[in-house]
Amino acid sequence: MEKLLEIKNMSVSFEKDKKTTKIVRNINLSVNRGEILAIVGESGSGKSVTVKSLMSLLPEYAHVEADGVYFDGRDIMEMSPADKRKIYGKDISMIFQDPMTALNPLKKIGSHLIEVIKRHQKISTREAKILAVKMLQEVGIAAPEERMKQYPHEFSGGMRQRVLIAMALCSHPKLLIADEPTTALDVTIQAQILKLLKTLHKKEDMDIILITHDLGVVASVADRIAVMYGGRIMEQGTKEEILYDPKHPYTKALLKAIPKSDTARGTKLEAIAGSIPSFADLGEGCPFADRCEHASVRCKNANIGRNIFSETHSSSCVLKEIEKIEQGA
Amino acid sequence: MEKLIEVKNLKKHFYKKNFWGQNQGVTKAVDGVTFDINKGETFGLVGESGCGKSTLGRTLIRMYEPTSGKIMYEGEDIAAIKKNKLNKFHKKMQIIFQDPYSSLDPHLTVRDIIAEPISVYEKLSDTEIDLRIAELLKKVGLKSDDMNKYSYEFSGGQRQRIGIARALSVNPQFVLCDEPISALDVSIQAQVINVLEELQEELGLTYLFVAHDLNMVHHISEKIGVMYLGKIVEIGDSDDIYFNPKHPYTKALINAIPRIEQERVLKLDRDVIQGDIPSPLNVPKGCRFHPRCPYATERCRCEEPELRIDADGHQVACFEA
Amino acid sequence: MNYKKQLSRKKRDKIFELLLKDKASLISVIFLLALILVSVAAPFLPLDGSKTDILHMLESPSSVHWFGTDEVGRDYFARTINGGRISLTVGILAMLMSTVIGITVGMLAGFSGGIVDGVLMRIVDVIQSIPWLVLVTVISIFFKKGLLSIIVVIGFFSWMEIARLVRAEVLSLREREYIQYASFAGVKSFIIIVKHLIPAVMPTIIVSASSGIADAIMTESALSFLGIGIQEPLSSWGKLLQTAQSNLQNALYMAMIPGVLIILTIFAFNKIGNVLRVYWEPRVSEV
Repeated sequence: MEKLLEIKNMSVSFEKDKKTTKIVRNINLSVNRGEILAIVGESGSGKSVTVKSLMSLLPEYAHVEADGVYFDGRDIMEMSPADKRKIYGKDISMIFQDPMTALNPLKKIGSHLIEVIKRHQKISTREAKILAVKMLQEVGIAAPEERMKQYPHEFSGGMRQRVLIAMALCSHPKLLIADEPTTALDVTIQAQILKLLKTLHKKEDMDIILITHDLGVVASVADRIAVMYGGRIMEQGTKEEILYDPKHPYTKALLKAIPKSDTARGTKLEAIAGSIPSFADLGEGCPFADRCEHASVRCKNANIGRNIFSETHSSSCVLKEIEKIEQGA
Repeated sequence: MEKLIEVKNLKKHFYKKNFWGQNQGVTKAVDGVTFDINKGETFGLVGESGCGKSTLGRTLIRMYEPTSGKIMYEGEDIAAIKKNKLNKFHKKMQIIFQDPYSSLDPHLTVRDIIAEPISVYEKLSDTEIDLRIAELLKKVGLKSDDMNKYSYEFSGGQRQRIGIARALSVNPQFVLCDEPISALDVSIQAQVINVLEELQEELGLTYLFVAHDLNMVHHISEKIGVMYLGKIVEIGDSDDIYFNPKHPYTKALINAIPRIEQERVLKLDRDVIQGDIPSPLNVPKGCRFHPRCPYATERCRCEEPELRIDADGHQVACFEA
Repeated sequence: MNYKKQLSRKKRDKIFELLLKDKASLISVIFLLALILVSVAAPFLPLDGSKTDILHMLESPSSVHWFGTDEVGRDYFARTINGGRISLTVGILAMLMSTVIGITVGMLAGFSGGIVDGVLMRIVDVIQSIPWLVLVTVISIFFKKGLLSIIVVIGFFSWMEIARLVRAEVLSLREREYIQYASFAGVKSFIIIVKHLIPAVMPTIIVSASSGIADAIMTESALSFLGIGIQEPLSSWGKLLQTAQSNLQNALYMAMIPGVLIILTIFAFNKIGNVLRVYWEPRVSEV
C-alpha cells in the first residue's frame, strides 16, 4: 500500500532547567493513502506531542530526532523552514479540541475563511467570498451567507468545529490532523462532526490522523489504530485487530475497563490499578510494567521486542504468547 | 421501595439584571422537574451540556436557591427551610465535584481538606479527627500517610478519591455525584466508579449521579432520568432507558453513543440526529425538542407534553411515544 | 505533631532552593538584611550626624568621612544611615497600613458582592480619580508635619490598587468549587476568608506589598524633595537628595549616594517580593 506519511524511529525529548525528559520514544508510524489512522491514548501518552512534532508546533525546548519523516515521498526533517511552511497549512492541515482558541473573537467567521482562501489562491476578495460560502455549505452550516457575518461567539461548539474544518479544507490538504476534535462536544454533536469528517475523507480524497482517547469514536471512524502509552506505541493494527483481537496487556485492560452494553448492572468494572506515570519517572523498559498484571523482571529491560502478528498487527511486549519475535525493533 | 427524596415541580431560574435591578432576561435552567429518588439507589441524570442537569443537582441539595417547587427529604421540605437552618440537611447531603483540581484547595493538606466539613458539624478532638480521616482514606483506596500531603501531589484520580473522602467524612445518607468521572482518563474512570459502588454497598448510600456518559450512567444507576433544556423528558429503569428508549431525544442520545462492541458500533450514515441544542435563554415553544425531532407534528409545535407514566412505571414526555 | 515539622522543613527547603537558584535575589536578601541591621543598630553605633564642622565642609569621601561631609560639615555617612532608618520606617509602616486597608476593603467588596461591593468600589474610584500628589500635598499642609503624619498620609492614599487587585481575585476565587463547597458545608464566612481566600490572594498581596514599600519610599522622597516631607533635623534619603541639589556641581556624591541607595533598596524589595510570590504559589500539579 502506498504511504502518504511515514515516521521512522522518531523520538522527542524536552530539555528544561538542564533536565532532559524523554517524551516520545522510538516511534514508527505510517499513514496509508485513503485511510483514517487513529492514535489512541490517555493523557500523558505522548499522542499530541507526536503529531505536533510533525507540524513543528512544539515549544523551543523540544528536540526531535528521527531516521526520517517522509511526507509524500519527501523527508520533512531535511527540509528548509521555508519548504516546511509550504507544506504546513497547505498539504497538512490541523484542527484542535477547542475551536474557540483557534478563532479570533474579534473577526467575523467570513473574514477568517476569506483570509485562508486568499493565502492559498490568487483570487479577488469577491471570488474568495463566494468560495467561503461554498465551504461553509460543504461542512453543513445552514444559511451560510448570514453566518459569514457573525462572530465566533455567536456559534455553538459544534458549529465552530465545522468552521475550523472548513478553514482546514480551503487548501485541499492531503492530510488532516484532528487532535481530539470532538472531546469538547456533546454526543449528538460529536456524531455529526464524525460523520462530516468521514464524508469529507471520501469526497475530498483526504487522509486523516485522528487523535482521541475515546475507543468508541475510533470504532466508528478509523481504519487503523495505534495505541500509545507513556510515549510509546504499545500496539498497532487494523481496527478489527485492535478492538476485537487485542494482544497487548494494556490494550486488553483498557478495553475491559469500559462498561459494555451487555455487561450486567452491578458487575464490577475491571479497573486498571495504579495511575498513569509521568514522563520524568519513565525508564527504558515498558511504561505499563508497573500496572500490568503479567509484568515480570524482563519488562524493565531496555530492549522490548516487537511482536508481529500479521502484516498490519504488531505490539511491543515481552509476553510469552508471542508468535514471532523480532529483536531490536 | 422507600423514597428518600421527592422533587416536585422544582424550578431554578437565573435572572440577568441590569444596574437598576430590572430583569434583562431569564435562563430557565431547571423548569419544572418532578421525580423521586429511592433510598439506597443510584438515580442517573443524563443530558447534554446546558440541559440543566448540574443545576438541578445543586438546587436539590440547596447549594443553589430554588426559584419554586418542593424538595421533600424524608418527608420534610428542604426548599422551605431557612438558609441558616440548613446545616442539619447538609450533613446528610454531600457533593462530589467534576473538576478534581478546582474542588480541592491547593493551599491545604489533605487532612485539612477532609477535616473541613467535620469541624462544622461535629465537635471532635484533633486526634479523633485524625483517626477518622485515616480510616476514610483507607476506605477510598489511599494511604493514611497521604493526609500530610498537599492535593497537588496527587493525580486526577487520586484527587477524586480525596473529594469522595471529604464528602463521606460526615457520614451522609445522600451524595450528589456531579460528573465525577468526566475529567478522568479512561483507565482511571473504572477505579473511581468501583470505589463509589463499594462505598454505596458498605454504607447504604443514595446517589444522584449526574453525567453525560450514558454507558457509565447505565452501569451505575438503577433509574435514569433524561434531561433536555431544563425538563426531564423521560424517566425509567436503567435497562429500559438504555435498551428500549421511548422519547425521540433519548433514542437520539443513545444512538449517538460511540460504542466499541462490533455489532453496536455507531453507524454514522444513519444514526446521526440533526441540529444543535437551542440556547436555554431562548427555549422553543411547544415541545422543547420539536425543532430537532424527526417525528414532530403540529401539536408538538404548540403544546408542551407532560411526563406520562405507563404501566411499568416508565415516564415519557412525548405525544407520540 | 511530626508531620507538621516535616511540612515546615519542606517549606524551608523550598525557599532556600528558590534563593540559591537566582543570585540576584540572594544578593537582595543579604543587602536588605544588612540595611535593616545597620538601621536598627544605628543609635548604638558611634555615629553622629548632627555635629557640624565648618572646617570640613563639602569634603569628598575619605577614610575619615566614608561618604564625605555635607554643606555644614556633618558626616554624610551618619546622615545616610539615619536617613535610611527614616526611609525604611516610612516605607514599611506605610505599606503595612495600605495593605491592611486594601485587603480589608477588597475582601469585603469581593466576598459580599452586591450593594456592599458597589458602594466600596465607587469610593475607591473617587479617591483614585484625584491625582494623588495633589491630594497628598494639600493634606500634608493641614497635618502637623512629622514622621507619623507622613506615614498616615502615604498609607491612607495608596491602598486602592491593592483593594482592586484583591477584589478581582476574590471574585474569581468565589467561583472555585472548593470555596463553593465550604460555603455549602456551612463554614463561617470569616473562616472561609482566613483559611481559603487570604492564602490564595497572598501572591498578589506580596507583590503589591513589596512594590508598596518601594512606592512609599519614593513618595516620601518626592514629598521631602518638595519640602513637605520630613523636616529638619530629621533626614531621609529623599531629604538628603533635596539638600544635595543645591550642591550638585561641587558635591555630586551627595546626590549619588542616597539616589543609588533608593534604587538598590527598591530593586531588592521587588526582587524579594517576586521570590516570595513564587514560593507561595501552589504548584498546579506535581504528578
